[in-house]
Amino acid sequence: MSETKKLSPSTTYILRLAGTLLAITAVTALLLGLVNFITAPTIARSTEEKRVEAMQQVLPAEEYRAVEAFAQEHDGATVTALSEAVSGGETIGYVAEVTANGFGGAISMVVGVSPERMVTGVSVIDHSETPNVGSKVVDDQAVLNQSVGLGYPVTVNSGDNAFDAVSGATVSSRAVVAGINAAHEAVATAIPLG
Amino acid sequence: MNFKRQLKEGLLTQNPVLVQLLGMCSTMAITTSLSNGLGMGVSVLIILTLSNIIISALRRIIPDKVRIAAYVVVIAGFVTMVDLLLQAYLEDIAESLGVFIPLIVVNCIILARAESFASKNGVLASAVDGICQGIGYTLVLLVMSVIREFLGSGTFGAGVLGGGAGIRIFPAEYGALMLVLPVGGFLTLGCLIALMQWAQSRKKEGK
Repeated sequence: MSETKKLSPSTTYILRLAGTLLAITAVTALLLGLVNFITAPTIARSTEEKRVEAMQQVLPAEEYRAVEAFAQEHDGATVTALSEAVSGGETIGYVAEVTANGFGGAISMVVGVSPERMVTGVSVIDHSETPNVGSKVVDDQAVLNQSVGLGYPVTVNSGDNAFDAVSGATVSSRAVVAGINAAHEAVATAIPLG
Repeated sequence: MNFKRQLKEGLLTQNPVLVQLLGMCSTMAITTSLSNGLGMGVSVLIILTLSNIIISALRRIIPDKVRIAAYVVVIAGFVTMVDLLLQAYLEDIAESLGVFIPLIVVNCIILARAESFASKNGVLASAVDGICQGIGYTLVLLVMSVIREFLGSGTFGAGVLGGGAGIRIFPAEYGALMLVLPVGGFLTLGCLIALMQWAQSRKKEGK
């Protein structure tokens, strides 16, 4: 019984399978890491630029300071971030980043609210609404701009703060309104009026 | 290796979409405007060619039993790279193609070409195959995009021509909305496949 321990043919075969897969995955992972290393700063920069651009559109300010505590959920819409817009050392309003549930999925939008709690502007960053139906609400800045000057609560079609729904696109219109109300609510909880 | 024959196969007789009926999901979903069709087509062409080259180069090294796993890793690697590069440098296209870029991983055109061509042929032939099949796929996407965009929204070349809005041929109100919706994708694709079958059977009879 002095024979050296030899691997059986089936074991070497399995090791070969695993080894080849491991080698392929390792090389792929390495390359992916490299590409990510090169592109990550560019992607981060363009995302940030887009965010600031959207904020500038709804409420132009010199600086945006993040607000920590605010109500996140309201009427099915989620506020993901709230910033205080500051110009010349004074607070000129608040900008909320909101995700509302549209007809075709999430509508990601930015809502500006003045210190008097009026909407200063709404801008939709990303959406997957039906072309030519829901997109008539979210892609048409003129429709979105009817919300300018509206206080809380914004309602659809009737009331003091009415937002006229686009016919045939009620779900998308309601989603935008829910987003605006969520922004109002977030500002109200973060900075009590007074 | 016969470049002309492979090109003819990719474009007509073995067209990935119209004859092999591969990659239906992305074809249906993204062909609503010319820029989307072009972006998706070119992305698939690049990924298909690269993965064909690598898989063909590795065809003697990859053991038969784990070949599918190995192919998927190679394809997923390329898709992720293209996705990251698009996000970094061609942001607008990345945004409008959205989830369909990552989904190229499971686009059956690429896996089918890897399995049926690249794993049996040389590197150069596989690269040519990738390019030809990619061109065939892109052409179908372009044709479908143009038809659906024209009939559905009344424009030509949205996202590419006329400052991004496309050239308006008739007012959007008169567009058949249905064609921009998924239903229109099925209808357009069905008509194109029928046309292809008709052309091929006519050619056979003529011989």
